Amino acid sequence: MIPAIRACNVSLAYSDGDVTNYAVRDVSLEIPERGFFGIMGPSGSGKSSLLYLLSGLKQATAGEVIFRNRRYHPMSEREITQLRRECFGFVFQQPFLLNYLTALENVLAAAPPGDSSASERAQELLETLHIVHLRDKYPYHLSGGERQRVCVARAMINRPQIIFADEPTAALDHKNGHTVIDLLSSYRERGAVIVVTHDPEMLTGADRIFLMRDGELESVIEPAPQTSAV
Amino acid sequence: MRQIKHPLSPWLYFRRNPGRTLPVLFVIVVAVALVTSIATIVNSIDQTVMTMYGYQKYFMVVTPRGALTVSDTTKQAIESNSLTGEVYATRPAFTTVRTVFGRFPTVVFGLSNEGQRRVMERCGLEMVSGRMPASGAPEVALSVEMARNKKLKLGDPVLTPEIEDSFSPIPARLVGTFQGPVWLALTSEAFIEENFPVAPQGYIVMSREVAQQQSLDSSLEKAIPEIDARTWTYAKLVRDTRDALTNLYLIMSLVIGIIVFAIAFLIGMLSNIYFMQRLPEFATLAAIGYQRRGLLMRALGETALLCAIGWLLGSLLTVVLLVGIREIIMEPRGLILNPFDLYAYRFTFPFPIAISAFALFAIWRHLRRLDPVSIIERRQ
Repeated sequence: MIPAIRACNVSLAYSDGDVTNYAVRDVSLEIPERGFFGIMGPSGSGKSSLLYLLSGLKQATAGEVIFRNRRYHPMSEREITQLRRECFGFVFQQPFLLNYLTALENVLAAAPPGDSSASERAQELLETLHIVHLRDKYPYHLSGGERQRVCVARAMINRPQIIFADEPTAALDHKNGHTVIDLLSSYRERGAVIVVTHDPEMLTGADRIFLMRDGELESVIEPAPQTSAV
Repeated sequence: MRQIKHPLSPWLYFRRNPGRTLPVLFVIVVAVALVTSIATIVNSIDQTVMTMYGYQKYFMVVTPRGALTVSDTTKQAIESNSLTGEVYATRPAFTTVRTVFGRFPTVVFGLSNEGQRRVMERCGLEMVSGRMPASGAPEVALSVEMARNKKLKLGDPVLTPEIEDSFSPIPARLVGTFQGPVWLALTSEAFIEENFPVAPQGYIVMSREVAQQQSLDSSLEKAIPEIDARTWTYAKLVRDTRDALTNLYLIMSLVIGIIVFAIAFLIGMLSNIYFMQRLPEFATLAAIGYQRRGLLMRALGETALLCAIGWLLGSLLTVVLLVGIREIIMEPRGLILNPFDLYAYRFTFPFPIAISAFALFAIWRHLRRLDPVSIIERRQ
């Protein structure tokens, strides 16, 4: 498969006086155009930092990240932001929904203004994620799992090429966690889904798992192919 | 399916966040009402002067200097001017009218019956009650607004020996009221001549056409030697009034400037606090691909909308307040106040600009340094 995104010897270092600490060190990897991928490792292993580097939320201090032949390094902040808007979707550990917007409006908030089909897509997404009955509810009326599903819908509204999910199930119970992962996994046919987690159970069915330890890529696991769960 | 407007519109934010928007709105409304009211009241001095002495738009007055009658040279200058239409001899008595800033002196023109009739015609005044003063009689006719201002009804003394600023050795009573675009007080010249031995005789000079009055004023101002006579014209009235009010307007502008700065600073601080509370929201939007400039414009849009609504409501409140004040307090006392004085509203224009600038600065400071990851990673 053609890689959608490539990291070539990327590092993310923080200087603390004379000492340099590496959140990510010399990591190289490739993410294909489609599939469900996991970044796993213990706390502080640099898995979230790697996700931020791949998604352009952080700039690498060494090495380079390339998305479809576009190198992040010479791109301006404006261009990278635009890239995130047009090509990526995000799910964070906390949903960070806008409290004064309904579920449907929160999904639409990620759509570009003037996108006439966005309402329809948002509605369809809420149906697919089984929360269409909550479309007019405000976030404070939703459970944690429901909020995270709204967040997944928000990540999908622009039909992104890659969805980045940073510990999307960490704040959820087991059942809701699986539901969210299943929903994310269902997107693998349309694009790449990269999930950061410390829970191996959540990556059952992943096409590839990157194991991180102490900021370095320890190994890459490619489980045996299986039929998509959703 | 129903199309939904983009949910990040300022209007939606305004409607759904009353806890944040209403306090700011309240401050803006009160500030606009306060400033407009101050400016309207201060500006009422100018309006009062222009109404009280507005008759000078229709004729000029020439009074002698250092003598009781106008010199021949001055007479010659008046009569020889091609724009001069009618000239009437006049002698003055004085009274006062109340304004919000104290009593203002005004002239009671002593004129012949013909002079009175022509002056009224010229000024567009019409009798509403009583009659004009008879020749030689201690009688006065006033604009109805002046009568109301002085709380006078027909038969009441206008000029009396007891009141220093409305002095007359013989009480002169109100015999008629008239109404029109300007205020005027008229009496008989013969009565003044007989009872005010030192009242100088001047002239009321009218141009052939009303439209020519300003040209005639200007021409006679140049032609009449200053040492001989003093000319009273509308242009001079406007000039003198504005000169006299310059310092007052300066002080008012200073006070308003301080209010604008204080309010803008306060709202800037509030914007700062509100923005801090909304950091996760802005960080999330930045993370999912909103440009900083776009976020800044969004915040600016919200502030601008708040200012616009605040300004409109503030203006509306001012009009309601001032109309109430005019109806209940001012008009019954014959005081002038224009609640629709557009000039006063100009002083409120700095509000939206200053508030937006302060809020923009406060928000930009945070947005410039905003690192979405640092907010997202807090994971609270």
